[in-house]
Amino acid sequence: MEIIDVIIVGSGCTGAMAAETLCASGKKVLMLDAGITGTVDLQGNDNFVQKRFEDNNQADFFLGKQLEALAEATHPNIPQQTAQRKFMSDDTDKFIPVHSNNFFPVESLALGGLGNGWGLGSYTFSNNELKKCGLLPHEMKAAYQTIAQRIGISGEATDDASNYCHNNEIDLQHALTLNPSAKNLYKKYQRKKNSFHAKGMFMGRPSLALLTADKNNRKAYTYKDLDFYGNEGSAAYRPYITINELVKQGKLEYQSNWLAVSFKEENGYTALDCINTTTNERKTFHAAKLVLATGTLGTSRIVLRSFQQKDKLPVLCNAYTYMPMVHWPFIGKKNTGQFCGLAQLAMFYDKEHNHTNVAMASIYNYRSLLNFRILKQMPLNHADGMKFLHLIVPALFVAGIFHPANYQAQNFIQLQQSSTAVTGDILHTDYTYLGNELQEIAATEKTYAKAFAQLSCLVLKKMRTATGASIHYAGTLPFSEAEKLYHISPEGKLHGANHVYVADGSGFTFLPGKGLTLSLMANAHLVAKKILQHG
Amino acid sequence: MNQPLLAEAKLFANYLGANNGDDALLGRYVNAIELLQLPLSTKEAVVVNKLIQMPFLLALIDGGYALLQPNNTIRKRILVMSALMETDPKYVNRFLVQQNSSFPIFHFLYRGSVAVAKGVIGAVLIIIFRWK
Repeated sequence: MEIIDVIIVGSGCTGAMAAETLCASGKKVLMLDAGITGTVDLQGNDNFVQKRFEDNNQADFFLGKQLEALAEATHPNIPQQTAQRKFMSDDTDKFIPVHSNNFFPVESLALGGLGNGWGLGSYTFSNNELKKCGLLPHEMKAAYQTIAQRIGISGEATDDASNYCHNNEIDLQHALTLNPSAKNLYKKYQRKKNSFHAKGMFMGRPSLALLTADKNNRKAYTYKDLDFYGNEGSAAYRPYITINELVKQGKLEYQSNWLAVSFKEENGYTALDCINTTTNERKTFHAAKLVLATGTLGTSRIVLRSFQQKDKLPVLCNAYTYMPMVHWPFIGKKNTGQFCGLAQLAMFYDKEHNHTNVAMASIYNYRSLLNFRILKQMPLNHADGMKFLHLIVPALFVAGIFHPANYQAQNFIQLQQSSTAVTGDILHTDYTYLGNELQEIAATEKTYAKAFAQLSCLVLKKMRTATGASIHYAGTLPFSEAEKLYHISPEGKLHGANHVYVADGSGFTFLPGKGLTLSLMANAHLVAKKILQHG
Repeated sequence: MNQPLLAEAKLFANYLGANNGDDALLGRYVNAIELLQLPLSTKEAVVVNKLIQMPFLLALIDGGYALLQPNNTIRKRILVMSALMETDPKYVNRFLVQQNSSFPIFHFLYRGSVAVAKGVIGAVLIIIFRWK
């Protein structure tokens, strides 16, 4: 029986960062993962506009060879998925099924996990946010810098939003060049910024895990506006970049097709039971230390199976509001120039002026996802709708607002037995926004709509998406100093086990209303460091 | 080729302003509908047949369904035609703006008003014809 130094389960952003830290120590590290792969690197040298005007086979690219982009969505929270990213959610129904009437989480069994579709927003949490999450500010600050150096982050060093984006705690490459309409919107904000500041609203450039200058073997972003279809030159950070590099250097062993089911501890080591996703073969791997990094819900499944299946666990999820809007001055303007589909601007609403319960809006221009996706949602006939969209798409912005999330008694996850599921169970979830939380969400939406109106934007709709659409989940195994079952020590060790660590967001006791991936990665790095310190 | 689907393809292509006789587009539509499996209900099939005979009603009925029954399969099928046109270099000018438009706000308001008016009339027709 071989006992490996460390087994990491999961290959998303947290698994990749934990692996990089652990592999640097010379430990023998094995990563186990379902590892579904897709094509994420672009071929050829086309940009979006060239492709649209010249490529006779572009339908295969934009709609998918099997017209995946036109197929009826099977999941309410991934309606905008492109054919190239479909692999991210493949087989989740089969291996990690969820049953719910009101909570529809997005999960992944892909190599790189949900990191393949990450919007790249890289934001540090404030001291207040970190404390509410149960994280130690001084350790996290150092970890943010380590992660920024690894993955490469671009942004603006000093603007109104920089305190909320990165607080000058990380190295930055220069920010992206703004799209013309975003530039116009930003100028408008700057003229009126005093009025916004008085309301606790701050706009600036988002910090993104996107290279604007070459770094190691990765190339700077080229503004081809095919951001939802591929990753030319690996300009966007994706976890598979780290994993492939570690494997290439011989520092990491990566085995795909394994779904981790449960663990048990025996004689000073951990036995991890897995199912092969192609053959259904069961196999037990043994490790001195086990690191769970499959995402909050995946990790909770494994822990629930390993302890006692009947328990209910709490859960956190950011509410998410999607606000399409038209920036009047850009109606009918030319939109065939240089363009970027990633977040152009970030706006932070800090109502209490203490950087704790902040609600952030990521503001995108719309172009490369094509007009038909918008047309589908418009209450107009298609012929006139097409002409109408032709005019408004150059002026179209989409703001995605994340609302902060605190624990609410009514929200939980639980494993239930299922005779049809491969693992013999299904995750039952219940998540609703009620009372004060719901009022806060509505008030924040209203404040944002008014702010956008002040910036010459006509909000077309306020769409509160189905619960789970934020793809931010946490808090199922809260951090706690006390040795309590289904809790994690501040160092990431799972209480009730001696050699099992959790490197994803399961321990966070609060979800700030902003992008959390950078904090997840920083925490994963810290957990890996603690494992090394404990030998 | 599937003749009923071809007739439907011609109807939708003309409606959305595709070139007359764009056989490649029509063929792609037929293949797409066969692949996507978007079956019409009996009532929807009756409506499509009526619209093939009276194509001038299509904008009204489409707009009416947009208000009364947005997930109607006829609308889903028209959207497929729209997406196929959007990803065809011949029609790209209808989706991307190459030159700044003149009087854009006027066009915006006009286009929006016309579309809403057609929707309202269409909704009344759908109710009268009992096509919902």
